[in-house]
Amino acid sequence: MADEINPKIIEKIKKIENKNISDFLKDIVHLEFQNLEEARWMFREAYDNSIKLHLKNQ
Amino acid sequence: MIIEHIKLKNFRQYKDEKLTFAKPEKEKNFTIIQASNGVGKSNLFNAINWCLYDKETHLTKEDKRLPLVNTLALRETPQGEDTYVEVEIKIRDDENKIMVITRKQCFYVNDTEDIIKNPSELEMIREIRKDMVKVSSPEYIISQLIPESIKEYFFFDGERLDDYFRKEGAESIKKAVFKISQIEILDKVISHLEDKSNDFLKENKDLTPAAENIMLQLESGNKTIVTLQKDLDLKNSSLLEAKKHIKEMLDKIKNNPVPNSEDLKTQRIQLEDDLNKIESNTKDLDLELEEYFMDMSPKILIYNAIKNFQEQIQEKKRKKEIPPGITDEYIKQLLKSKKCICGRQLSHKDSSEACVVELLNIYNKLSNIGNELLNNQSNIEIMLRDISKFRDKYLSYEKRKKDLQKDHEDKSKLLKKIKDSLALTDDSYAKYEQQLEIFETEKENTIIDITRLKTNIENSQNFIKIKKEDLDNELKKQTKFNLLRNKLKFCKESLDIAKKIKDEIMEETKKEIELKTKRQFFELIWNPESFENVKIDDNYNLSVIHKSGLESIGSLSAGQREILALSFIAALNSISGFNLPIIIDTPLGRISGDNRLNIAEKLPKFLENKQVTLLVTDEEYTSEVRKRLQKHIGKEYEIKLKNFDCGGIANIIEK
Repeated sequence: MADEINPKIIEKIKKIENKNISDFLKDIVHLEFQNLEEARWMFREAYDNSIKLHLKNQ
Repeated sequence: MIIEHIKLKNFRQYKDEKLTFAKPEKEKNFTIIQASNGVGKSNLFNAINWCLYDKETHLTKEDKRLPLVNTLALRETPQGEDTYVEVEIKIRDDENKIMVITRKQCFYVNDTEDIIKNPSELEMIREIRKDMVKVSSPEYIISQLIPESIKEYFFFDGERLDDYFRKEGAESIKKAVFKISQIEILDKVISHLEDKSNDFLKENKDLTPAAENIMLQLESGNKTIVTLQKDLDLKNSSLLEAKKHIKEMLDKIKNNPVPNSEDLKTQRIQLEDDLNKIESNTKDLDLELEEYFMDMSPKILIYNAIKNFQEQIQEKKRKKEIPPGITDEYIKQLLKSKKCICGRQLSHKDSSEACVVELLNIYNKLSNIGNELLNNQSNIEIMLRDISKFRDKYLSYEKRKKDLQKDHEDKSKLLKKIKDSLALTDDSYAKYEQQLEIFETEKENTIIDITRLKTNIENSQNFIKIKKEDLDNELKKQTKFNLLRNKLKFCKESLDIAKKIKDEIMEETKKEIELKTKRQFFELIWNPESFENVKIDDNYNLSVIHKSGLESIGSLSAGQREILALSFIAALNSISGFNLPIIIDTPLGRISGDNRLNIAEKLPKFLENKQVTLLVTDEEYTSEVRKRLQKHIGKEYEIKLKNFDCGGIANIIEK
């Protein structure tokens, strides 16, 4: 059962030099993986929150 | 994940059957279900599909004509009662937890002998911390457990493996690979990041900052004020200078002896004083008039309303509605003595006492209103009296002003006459008068300039106040704009990286599938020396390169094509991360002779550690094939069909 994200995706995201972008992509990939249905409608707000969070660290 | 058992009730030819599957332990991972053609082998396959997805994908022409419900069971059900079709699949997941999926559908025969069915119902219970719990959204769990888009790479029909080599087959393979390698998640991330970038761009358009421009305007406004202030200071100095000169000239005129004209000189000085007093009085009168207008304007504007108000009060007084004819003390006395005005006894048992209490309440309210009206009446009368005097008072002001103007005019004329006479008498006096006039004119002009400058400074200060507010708003916008620009930049960078990751994973996944397919193909095929390579293009079209260098997929035998398809499926399987059982319907149906034995021998190695179920016909499951699979068979069944005039009943018999 594919109950986890393809490790190759996670591995590639971890290797991104910009840590903020890496963390942000990790967040939204998990979001899309866990809440495929909800993400379709709620993604704007969820993406906004994640961008705000990771931009703060810049 | 493994399937432990499947139970079938009234599903097509299966009236009440249970099938337990071999577990992938001790290399006994194969379940063999043998049946002749048309007995119901594929319907076992359909039962799994129906239970999970409410679909039957491998129906024969004959099955398509028949209802899902077992016709014998339907016939045996008493008139007016329902017959249920039920398929139950018991699963054990990778964490060794049990999950039971059940789909039910109700059928009945109506008065006109038509078979009617209700929508099917899906139910799932799963083991959570040693308890069996009903799942609220079984469809979602199934879509996560065995996504429908990839199920055909785990539950497939050996006779349809050729479909993978058709163009539309390649398209569905590509979709499946995207699903398996979760590229669709990256697709969603990319699509949503593009949407977010567009949102930010739209917001950005409304936030074009104007702060810089306003700051320039402010700077220019401040410079203007400084310049105007300097001019004002200069003009104030000029005014002081002019006043000083005027005083000097007046002193000279006063102290300059003019022969035979001392009287005229005294008169002149007196007239100057008088004119100053008249000017001062005129100014005071103007101020007084202005104040009077300020006081009277509102009264005049509401004249009609207050007039009407006064008439209404008078009317109410005339009708004796105000003040009230009785007093509250009187009503209180009635309540105290418990006697009504008519002499009747007041009691709380009937409504009499309550009525008098209510009367007191009404009285209090009316009394308050009446008192307010009466109190205001005197104010109204004062206002009306003021308005009635307005015309006379205004005319009186006008007259006083005209008198002052006339006096000023007369005295000015007389002063000029005296000045002229004095000038004729003495030259130096004439010179002083001339200079005095010049200074007076200068003073007047300077005062005009000062007034204009003060107005300009005031306007500039107002302009700066407005611009400062604008700047404040713009700076707030600027902060938002900068933040938005950062967000957009961040979003676009993330988007580019996500696209790059997607491209890399697509390429790597394709290469991995290609490599594994090739390795399996060359390991399984009985004549590997005839082939050079197996390739998969970007659109997931498979090709087999002959040792001559030519594409040879079109000339492969049925057996070779099946080996290629199985190799490809095994490759997809191994990269998927989905540990699902494999069910193959008619795996050797298209293969004959030695090739069949070759595949039978190599399949167990090929599908090592997987739970494998083979649905085989009598023709393909020969004793030789059985011999080669024997070591790996955990469960073996045969399906037998009993025919009745109204349909067939299949029994699954364990060997």
